Amino acid sequence: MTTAISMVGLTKHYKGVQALTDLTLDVPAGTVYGFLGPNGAGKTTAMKVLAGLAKATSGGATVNGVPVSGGGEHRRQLGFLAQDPRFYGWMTGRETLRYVARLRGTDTGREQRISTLLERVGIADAADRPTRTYSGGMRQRLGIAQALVGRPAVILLDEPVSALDPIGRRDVLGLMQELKGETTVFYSTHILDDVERVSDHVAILDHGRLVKAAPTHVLLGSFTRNMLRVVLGGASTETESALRLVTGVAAASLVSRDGEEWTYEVTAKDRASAEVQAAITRFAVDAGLTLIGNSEETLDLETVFLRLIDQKEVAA
Amino acid sequence: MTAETATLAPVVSHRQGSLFLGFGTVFRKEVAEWVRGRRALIVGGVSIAFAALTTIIPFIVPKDSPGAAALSMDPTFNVLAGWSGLTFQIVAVLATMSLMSTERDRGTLGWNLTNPVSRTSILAAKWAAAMVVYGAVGVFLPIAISAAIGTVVYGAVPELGTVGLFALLYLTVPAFYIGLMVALGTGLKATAGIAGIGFLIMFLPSGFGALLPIINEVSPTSIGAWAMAIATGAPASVLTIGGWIVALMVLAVGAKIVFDRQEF
Repeated sequence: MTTAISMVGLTKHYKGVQALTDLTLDVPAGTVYGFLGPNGAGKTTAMKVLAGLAKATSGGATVNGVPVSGGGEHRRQLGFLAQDPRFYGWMTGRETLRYVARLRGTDTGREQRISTLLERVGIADAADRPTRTYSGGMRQRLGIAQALVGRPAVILLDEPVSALDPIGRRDVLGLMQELKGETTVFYSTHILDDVERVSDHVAILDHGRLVKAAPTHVLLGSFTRNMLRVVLGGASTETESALRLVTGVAAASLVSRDGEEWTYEVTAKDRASAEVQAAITRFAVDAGLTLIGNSEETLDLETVFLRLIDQKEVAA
Repeated sequence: MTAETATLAPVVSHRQGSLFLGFGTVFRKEVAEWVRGRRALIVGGVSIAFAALTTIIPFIVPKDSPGAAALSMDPTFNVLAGWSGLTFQIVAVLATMSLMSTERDRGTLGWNLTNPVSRTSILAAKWAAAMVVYGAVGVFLPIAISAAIGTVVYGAVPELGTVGLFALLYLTVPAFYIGLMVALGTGLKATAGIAGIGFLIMFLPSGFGALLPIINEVSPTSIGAWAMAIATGAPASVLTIGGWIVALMVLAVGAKIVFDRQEF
């Protein structure tokens, strides 16, 4: 696997504030990587260090193999969208992209690239208007276009959808998904639904420390890989203890009862949930119960996130 | 994960050294901002009006008014007359005091720095673009128009060598004040504070200079008088140009050190 961004021991102190502590993280190339954390977790600080807007107190980082430094060379490798993007109000959207393209040395096919990007982010109609007339959503879209104009290996998006209306949010998330494979998208957010929808990797940051980093499906599965949700019709108070005796079951507990439907959370001894599922099916048939549900438990990212953060709080 | 490097996008070849990375593009943007923001028009209008007025004063003063007889009718003298005062220096400060603070306020300074641009390039491009535009519309154009007016009203062509040399040497004045404004703008956020310190530096040496003449001689704020002296063949101190060079170097190094340390 190739690495687009590598952070090693990144630490940042502000006056009296520890914004980042020993952040070590590799972002695989070509992925859409969600950088998740509550407000004040240090996401924007890490982004600013990568963009060269802030200096790390210690540690280092590379972007597409180029060390992050004050000289600005590494910024050829990345496009950046700030949380609240600002541009020259007297420039039009097209001129803004032309300015960035020139800074990035994009000469060949520049105008075509600019027109394509303006179409892609949905502001082609306003391309020749001064940006001072743009709404917040339009500035956000222009910000994404300017991040992409130099065909960078990595784009850093700091809260790219937080200022957008539902339609704009859907469009931008769709665009981020389209970029998968074309470039590496490393974006920060506190909106968990978005991460679950578009990210194939996720890192969770809290109080400046990395809590967890993993492919999204692995992270979601890490809390539920031994868990089954079993719904039985016609069960009784004895069924719970009977379930515990089924081969491969480590624990079983009644979660809820809705009329004749009894819902149990069953924990398998190992990861052999498929075998346990089969054993539970046989148990239901043998006991004369109606098997309504027998599936692996799934958790949404919000639940996983809260569990991770809560665990950390408890450990602290 | 391995440390192998991604190759999804090509690495663009470097065209300039790191120190002046992106200078040309930022310079063009700065010039465009001067022109499209009408600052160049205002500086040109004020400078031309003042230069023209000071050129024709002896011509328009009634001949029977007190002191009229003492006024020179020499076109060269009258073209240069207005440039010995502080008006053009004040215009230079007012026109450039917000070069950095406006960018900082609107958030575009930080945005620029997310692109492949060195901090030195931003400072250098701001200074150079202001020099080019201010030099053209705030120095050369007013002097050229004054010379043309002087020729018409006094019936003789001014000494073009003297006037031309003065125009060239007078560029040292905006060079210092623009450098001062850019340097102060790296450390100060408020435009009023930048202008205030600029005016203090403009007026303070002449105040102390009355007590201790050497201060006037080495002060970079005396560079306008030095330019006039050189152009007209009057005695001029080498300490003045020396002080000006040292001051510009201090401003350049100081601005770079302060700006390089800043975070956005």
